[in-house]
Amino acid sequence: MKRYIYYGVIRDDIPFSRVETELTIAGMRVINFYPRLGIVKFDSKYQVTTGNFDFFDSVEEEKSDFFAQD
Amino acid sequence: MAANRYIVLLKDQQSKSIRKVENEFSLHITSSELLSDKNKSFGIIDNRNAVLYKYLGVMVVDNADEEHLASSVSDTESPVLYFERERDFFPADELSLLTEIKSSAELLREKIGELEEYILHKPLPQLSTVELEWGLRAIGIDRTIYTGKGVDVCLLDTGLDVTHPDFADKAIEGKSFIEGEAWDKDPYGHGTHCAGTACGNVRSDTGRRYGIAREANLKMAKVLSNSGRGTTGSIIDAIDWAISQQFRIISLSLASPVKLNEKPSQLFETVGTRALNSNTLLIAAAGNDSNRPSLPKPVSAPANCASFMAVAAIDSQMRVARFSNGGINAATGGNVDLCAPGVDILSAHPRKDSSSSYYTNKSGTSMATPHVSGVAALYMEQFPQLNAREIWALLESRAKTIENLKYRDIGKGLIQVYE
Repeated sequence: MKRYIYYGVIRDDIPFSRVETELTIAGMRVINFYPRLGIVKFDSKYQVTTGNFDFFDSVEEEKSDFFAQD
Repeated sequence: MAANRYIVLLKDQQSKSIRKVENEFSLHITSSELLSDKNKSFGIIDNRNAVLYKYLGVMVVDNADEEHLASSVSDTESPVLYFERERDFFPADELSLLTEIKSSAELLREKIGELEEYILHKPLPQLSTVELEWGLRAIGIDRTIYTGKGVDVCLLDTGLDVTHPDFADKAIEGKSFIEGEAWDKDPYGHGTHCAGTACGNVRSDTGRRYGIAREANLKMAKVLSNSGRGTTGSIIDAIDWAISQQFRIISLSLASPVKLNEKPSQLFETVGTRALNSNTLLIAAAGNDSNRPSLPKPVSAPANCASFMAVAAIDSQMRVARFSNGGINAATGGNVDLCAPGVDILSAHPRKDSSSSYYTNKSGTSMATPHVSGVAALYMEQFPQLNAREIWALLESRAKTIENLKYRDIGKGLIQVYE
């Protein structure tokens, strides 16, 4: 089954532990946490948007259309 | 000792005014009406006695106090309007004129001799005798002694052909963020070309220079596959790695097209801001989606984020490259910040077989971007005390505008070395 990959920008006042807990409860999986960037990579069976979360400033789906510019 | 004689212009000759001047300067003033053959002015005038020429309204006195006179001139209540020291005049006879001209001619002849001596024996300017690719001439590489020494420049690209003769003796660090593909090979060739422009030096075959920061520490993060394609994940992973290694410059010759009025990615905006906060400067290609002279396409992602420096491309005739994107999403961000050479750029390339060249020409905002990254490395060597944001500001302030080209297309202008 296809899973959608997302990147969430964690709000400044939210600890990663809460993000991890809430994503897990919602049936999503944390793939990577970037503490230097304040970003979480996670996947989901369902498509989600920023409005689905109160602990992210933004959520963006993984894109695969970055190309060399020559 | 010769007296300094002063000519003083008075407002009027009323007795009240005359008395005021006499009191103020401790003088006795004699009217010119009293002068005669036996009573001549030069027998009267000294530092206590002045002569007032009735019809001129001018008083003449010796050794007056200049400061006092100046103060009176500026005082509106004082009868003194103006003063000056008496000048010397000489007759302009023909012989003295001729003598003066001869003297000037002699001086001129001496100066011409000195100039001739200087021109014949002046030292050679410290110009490199190495031939340069056009892009390097355009950014003024021959006007700097800096080489990017000690500055870590990380390219996010397709990899690097480490067997290329121009890189073979360099200590290059790298990491692949593409599963199953190595960073130290580059079948696509794009990463090797960009690395050559940013951190290469001279061609191993002809000695012609094509690289900018030849003593920078080259780092390669493979985020584009062997077909030249990448994902958000590979780029984020690589930027996170580069920041963790404290690399000063991240060069992204890659882009994802955006639509008209599309807002910049908040994800990349956050990543760029945090990179800048970590003293890392991100420099990205504006994108090649345009087909000028039609209206250009907007600056691509991630260059359209304000925290990424967006680089457009120009050609050797100082025209905007046909393909170079423009800052047409101004309302939502996405301006071009700078431009750099990006058409027919010669640089290093992996050799396909033993008969092919180690060099090739490529065009794109991908080629413009490493020009800026290389110059940024020179600035960072030259100004080690400046942080990433300050280097950005300095790069923009030193860029040159190009006649007839718009801010929309080239931002602050063509990148230049710091002289």
